[in-house]
Amino acid sequence: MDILREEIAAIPEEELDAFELELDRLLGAYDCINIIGIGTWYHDDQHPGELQKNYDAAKPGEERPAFIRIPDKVVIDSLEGNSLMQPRHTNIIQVSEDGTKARALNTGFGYEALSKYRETPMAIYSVGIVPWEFVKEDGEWRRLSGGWQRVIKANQEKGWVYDMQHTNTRPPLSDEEDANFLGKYAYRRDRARKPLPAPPDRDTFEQFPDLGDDGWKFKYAPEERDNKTDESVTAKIREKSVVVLSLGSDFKKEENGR
Amino acid sequence: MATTEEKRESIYRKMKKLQAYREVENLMGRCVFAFNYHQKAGVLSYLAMEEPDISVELADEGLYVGPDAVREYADWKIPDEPQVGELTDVHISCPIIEVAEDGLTAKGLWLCPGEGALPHEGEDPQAIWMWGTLAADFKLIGEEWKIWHLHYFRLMKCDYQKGWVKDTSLENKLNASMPRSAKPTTYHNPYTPYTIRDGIPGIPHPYQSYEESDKEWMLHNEKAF
Repeated sequence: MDILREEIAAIPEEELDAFELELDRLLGAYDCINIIGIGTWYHDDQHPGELQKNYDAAKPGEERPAFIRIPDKVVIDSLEGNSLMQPRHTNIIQVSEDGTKARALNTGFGYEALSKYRETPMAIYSVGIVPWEFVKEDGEWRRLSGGWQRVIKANQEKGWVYDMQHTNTRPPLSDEEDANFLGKYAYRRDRARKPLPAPPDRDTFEQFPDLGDDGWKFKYAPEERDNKTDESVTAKIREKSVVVLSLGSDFKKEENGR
Repeated sequence: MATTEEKRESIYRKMKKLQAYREVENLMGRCVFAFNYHQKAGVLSYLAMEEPDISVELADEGLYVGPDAVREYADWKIPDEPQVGELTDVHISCPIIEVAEDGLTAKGLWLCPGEGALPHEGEDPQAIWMWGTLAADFKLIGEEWKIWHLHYFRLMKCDYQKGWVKDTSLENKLNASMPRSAKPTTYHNPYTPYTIRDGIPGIPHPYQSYEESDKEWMLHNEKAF
């Protein structure tokens, strides 16, 4: 008998369930990391969400609407010369005590090449932060929400102090629209950075028990939680955006684009 | 309702799986450090050189199958002494790791940012970007995990100042003679302003045990165009 088996044999019978739950929580974190990785690898210009749908929550809690997606929209004429690579780093993953839900935050640090109308591509440095929620459904972890929050999206030759590219949509976003969308908390040389989103704390599910409650993200800047963009502006942005991820009308919208 | 013995067995399997995740990630990290530091013996020590079908493939430098071929490639690829001004610094990030249910093998995929410097005689070194994707199979040999099949797919390699759109001169290898044991490169599609990225390498999916057909997972394109 190996040492591990001997140690497991010594666990009192009444503690086995709790021990296994703790293991499930730790393994769950790996499952969430995998889903984050898959979402990153398959996030691209032409099929936003196509393969990722396999990892979306189908029924995020009782009486909750399924993950809603706006039909994909074409925002580039050709795939040629386009690229979008934002590897995730700085993973923080907090699984709930009962092992049924999780919140995560990571950074994305990468590069893009963007050719909208078959012009010579623009090389772009792309950095952002991604908050996530996951739920365990029928024994499998699923992605409930996630959304890119831009930090920089800068022409590679100019750098982030001198350039900020908008999210690519058709028709293009105005400065105001972009500033109310993924550019809302992005770097700007003329303002101080907001500490958003916050990483999930160890007791995030005690502070914010319900999935879909985005209070955890605003912990360090609660005033921003009510600083919502005018609905008419966000409606226009959604019309143009590549893909919109949301949890239904009773949840705050999560928007995603490139 | 699981019996007490079934619960203990389940706990055992989960513990082994958890250990495997950590071991596999540490192993890949150690191997990458050894590669960055040009420690040939270190790199080889992390590979499953006991396995007759061990394989290594980096970008467009050919496929090397079997211990002798892998050793020959390592001799060709990894310099004995570091060069002044040279830098190879590959990072592993964004892991997707699947450990087989039988606990004997694992598959992993990492996105790999990287920066480097190329020395040029009589000139300043050239700062470069070197980004790629690492896909690997792992095998538990005795009590130790080893890298069994390793494939680095280049995403882009370019001059730092010019960037990945303007400089494509480093995307493909120079016209140099290769080790005799090189087999043809199986896949090479780095970024250029004229290429289209596809879904290769594929991603590892949960699996029971490693079958012959599993060898194809890295080259399996799941993206529908």
